[in-house]
Formats: sequence, structure tokens, C-alpha cells
Amino acid sequence: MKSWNIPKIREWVAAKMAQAPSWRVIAIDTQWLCPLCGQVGAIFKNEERLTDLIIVHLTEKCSIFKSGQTNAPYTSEALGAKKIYIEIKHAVVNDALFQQRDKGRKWYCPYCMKQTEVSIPEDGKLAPLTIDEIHRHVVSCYGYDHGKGSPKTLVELKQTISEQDRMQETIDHVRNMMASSPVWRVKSHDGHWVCPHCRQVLRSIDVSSNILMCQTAPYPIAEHLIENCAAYKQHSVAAETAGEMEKIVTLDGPKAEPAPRGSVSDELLASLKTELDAVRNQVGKDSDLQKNLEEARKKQLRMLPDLPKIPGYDFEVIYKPCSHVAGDLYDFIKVSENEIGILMGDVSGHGVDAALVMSLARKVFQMQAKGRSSPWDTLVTSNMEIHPDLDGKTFITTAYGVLNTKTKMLNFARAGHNPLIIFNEKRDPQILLSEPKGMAVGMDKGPRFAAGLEEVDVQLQSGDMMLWYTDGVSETRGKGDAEFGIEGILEVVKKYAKLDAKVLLHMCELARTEFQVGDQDDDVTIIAIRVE
Amino acid sequence: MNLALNERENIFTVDVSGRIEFNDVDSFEAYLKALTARGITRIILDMSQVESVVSGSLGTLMKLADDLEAHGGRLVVLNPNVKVLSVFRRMGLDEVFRICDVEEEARRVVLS
Repeated sequence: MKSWNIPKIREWVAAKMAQAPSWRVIAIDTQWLCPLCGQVGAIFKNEERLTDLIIVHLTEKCSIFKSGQTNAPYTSEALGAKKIYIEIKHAVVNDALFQQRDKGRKWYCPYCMKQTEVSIPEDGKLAPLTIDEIHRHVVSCYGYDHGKGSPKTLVELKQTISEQDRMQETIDHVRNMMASSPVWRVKSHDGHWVCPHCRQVLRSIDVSSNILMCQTAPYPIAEHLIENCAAYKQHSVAAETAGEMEKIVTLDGPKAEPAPRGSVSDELLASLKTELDAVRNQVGKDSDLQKNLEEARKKQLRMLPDLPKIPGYDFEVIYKPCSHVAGDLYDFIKVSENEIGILMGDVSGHGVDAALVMSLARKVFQMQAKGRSSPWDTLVTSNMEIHPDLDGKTFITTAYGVLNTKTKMLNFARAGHNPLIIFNEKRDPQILLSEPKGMAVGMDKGPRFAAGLEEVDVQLQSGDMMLWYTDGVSETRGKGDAEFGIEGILEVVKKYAKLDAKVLLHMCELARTEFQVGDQDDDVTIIAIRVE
Repeated sequence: MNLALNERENIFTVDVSGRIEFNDVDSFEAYLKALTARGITRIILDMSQVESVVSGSLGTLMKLADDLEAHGGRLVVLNPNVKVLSVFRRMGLDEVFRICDVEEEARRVVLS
């Protein structure tokens, strides 16, 4: 048996641990990976004992070390990949969050919250091959994002799976009904599906051919039933005869043959009664909805941030939702002792949907902004958090700046938002438009967003007036469909920006509303900040 | 907003005209969805006759571009006016789909 110079090895290991990153790769906080053989070399609870355990590994188990080789063939990157595998395997075996599957036994990823192709056995026991499949998904998963992403919570994942299960059950139900009942196969004269519950012709669901009807249509039909069909949700009785459905088709289109007279009137009357009942119920619901929207509006207004009170600065804001609830957002976030984050965002669309996204986004921005002086960092990380929760057609134009209130330096980035206007009559030129490039938040999952986002530094000075605004201001429509535009805003700025922030906002809103023809059709938010 | 579908030498072009407003979003989306549902995955959107766009309505185009790309297709926007182009650029939509000035180029790009 070989005799080892243990003190010398200890010294050598200590030096390696201090200098080489590949000697410091530790998985699940307890497993040291050996850079010579690439295996788990030591499992430790107390880090003080780690060096002892490494020496035991090297002198007793590591074939590479025992053969006399001391140059580590495994780089820290290579061991990093192993570490990820070990950690995913550990999570899959020990963490309920990584063990969720739907009724079809398909595994759900806690990072992207999507159903995967990985099938989990009935008994839940995972074979090495299944773990490999899960590992393959996770390392390429955009939600995991090379270890930078965070998993969602167990509650959120279970909720997603439950919704997916419900959707799948409804699709199966639709397929069964289509196979067994002619009522479910009725189409309008131009080939669109007619819902037997709400008796509506659904123009977005094409069933003009058998292939479309059997293969493509069940998914949008299930979507309609779950999300939009009030009659289905209220468990109203579906039409029972194809004849009843044919009458709807007759009413809908010119090409359908007129229904025979005979029994039409009774059935039509019954159908109309059902429809009227549904309308009446809906009116009652609309009234409830109005009350709920009013409540939501009050809550949203209560949640608006207070204006910062910082010596040397004057903050003012105008916030006017166009419907009950708004998709515009603004916030003032304490980044550090001397830094304040100024955030403005505009969710595409407006009303309840936009307001929900707005609330989510505001919370994410608040969390990501803490301690980050760089708007680029905050916007990139926020975008990664927000993107998976959007529907692919919703985005948030965002302007975000971090103002150091001591040095008056503003770091500013713009993700698809309007330019920041800075006016000072002592500057030459008096108006500065800050327009760094960047795509709107939510358009891209990360790489394109990060690559295209620019950050600029603006040294503010005494007398500067900053104006931040959303599209609702610049896209206000006037006579002959003219837009108020940035030109309209700048006109007001030139006249009133030398006054205080409150006056400027008042004059800006006055000019905008005087320009406007018809109702306000978008949320309006303007922030003015004066540097004293 | 008005929409008209044309097919020239096996490429589908949607001619859009007028103003794209918030309340056009649903019909615009349904129209484009109907095209993709029929397996049309390479589309030129001729926006030369679009007077203006409300920026919040443009998510539809973003989604369409992604959907077409996912099915191996492509969306190309043809000849928007300066005002519309500046909205596209500000929001980064020129990173999501290609914008061409002339039809020949658009046809070449949509087939590439």
C-alpha cells in the first residue's frame, strides 16, 4: 500500500481550493465535485471537515490522483454542468415542486410551467432515463435560463396543471360529443362552428372540412366553452336536436336553406326564450361587474405610490385611466440610500386585462429594482420574470431611470417607451430628448431584449425639468384625426417648464384635453420632476 | 382599418389601410388567425396605406410573427409610412419582424 505525505497533500489541496475555481464546485451545498475524476468526491455537513474528506477521496478513491496525475482535466464549467445534473436529480427525487404531473402523467416544469414530453410512471418512481429527460428539458428551458431563472411556487404550478387538466377534459368531451352527436357538428353556411350551448356562430372556429373539425377545432372549442361561453359555464342545456341548430344557421346566413315552417315557431320561440334568459342573466351580471370594476378602480387608486419628498427635487404626477382600471403604471422605488428608481410603464391594451398585467409587472419591477443601480440590469431581469406570464401579444413599454439624488446623475433606459424630455432654459439646446434603444418588455424572453437594450447616463443640473409620459398623451386624437404628438407636448414644455412641476402638468393636461376630440381612449400618465 | 387579401405568385399579401386603433385589434387578430389556421405561414403585410397605428394594438403583429416563425414561416411588413415606422422602431418591433421598402425585397425575404 502506497504511503502518502498527508501534510504535503493538505497544503496542496488548500492552495488549489484557494486558487482554482474548478476545485470549489459544490452541488446542493453538500457535495464536493472532484476536478480530477469528475465524481462526487466528498459529501460533507461541516465545511471545516471538507479538506479532510477531500484528502480521503484523493488518496483512497480517485484513480486519477492515485495514478500520479495532478492537473485537473475537469474545468469549472464542466463540473458546473455536473452540479446542475446532481441538483436537478436531487430536486426531482426530494422536492414536491419537481414531481408534479397532469392527469395524463406528463411532467410539468416548475420553471416554464409548461407540460413536457416526459412521462412519469404510474407509481411515481423515476428511472434514470426519466431523470435524464427531465434534466435535458430543464437545461434548455427558457424559464431556467442557465440557472439564472427561479422556479415558480408549488401552488402556482398546481393551479396551472389543474387548468390544463380541465382544458384536456373539455377537449376530450368535445371530441366525444362531436363523434356521437350531430348537434355538435353543425356548421354555418360559411363553415364555422355553431356552439350548441350559447347557440352562437363562432367565426374564429373553422370546421369547413372534416380534418379541421376532428383535429384542429376541439382545442378552440374547448377554449370557447371554458373562457367565453356563459351558457356552458352556467350549465345551460345544450341544444338537443340538429334541427334546432339548423335554425340558428338559417338566421345567421343567407346561403342556408330556409327551415320548413311546421314546427319552427315553437322551437324558435323556445330558443329565443333561452337566449333572452341568458341576456337577462348577463345584464344582472354586468351590473355586478360594474360594481366590481368600481371597487377595482378604487383599490388601484389607493395603491398608487406617494410622491417622493426629496430635498432639492419636486415630483408631480397626473394619472387618468380611460376605463375603470388602468394599464399604465408608475412607481418610485427606493433603490439604495441615495438612489431612487423612477418607473413608468404602459401595458398594451387597457381595462381589466391590462390592469392585471400592470399589477404583476409593478411588483416584479419593485423586487428587481432593489439594490440595482443599473436600469439595464433591472429591466433585463424583470423582462425575464414577466415574459413567461404574458400571452405573446401583450407587452409593456417601459421607461426606467435610477436617480442619484446626491450627484444628480440619472441612469436611464427605455424599453419601447416614449423618449424622456428634459428641459432647461439654461441648457443649449434647451430641450434634450433621451432616446436610448430597447424593445418593449415582454416581447422577447431575454437574449434579444438584453442585446438591444441601451442605458445612458444623464447629468442633471439645477433648473432641469424632466417629463415622462405614456402614449395616451402623445396619441390623443384631435380634429381631422391629428395626433397631439410629442410636438404638442413640447409646445407646452417650452412655455411652462420653467415654472414648477404642478403647473407644467396642469398646463399639459389642459392642452391635451383641449386638443382631444371625443372621449379619452387610452390611459394618461405624466410625471414631471424638477431639479431645484 | 380595412383588410384585403391578395395572392400573387403563391405569396399571400394582406393589404392594410386606414388607421389601426384599439377597437380593431380583435377583428385584425381573427383575420390573421384565420389565415394561419389555413396553413398560410408566409405573409406580407402591405402597410403602405396605413395612416397611423395605436401602439397598444401592435401585440397582434408580434404574436403573428412568433406564430408564423414557430411554423417555419415568416411575416414581412411592407412599406409603412414614416410615422408608423417610427412607432415600430421605438417599440423594437423591427427586431421581431423584417420591414421592407419594396415589394420585390419583401417577396424575397418572406420566401427565405
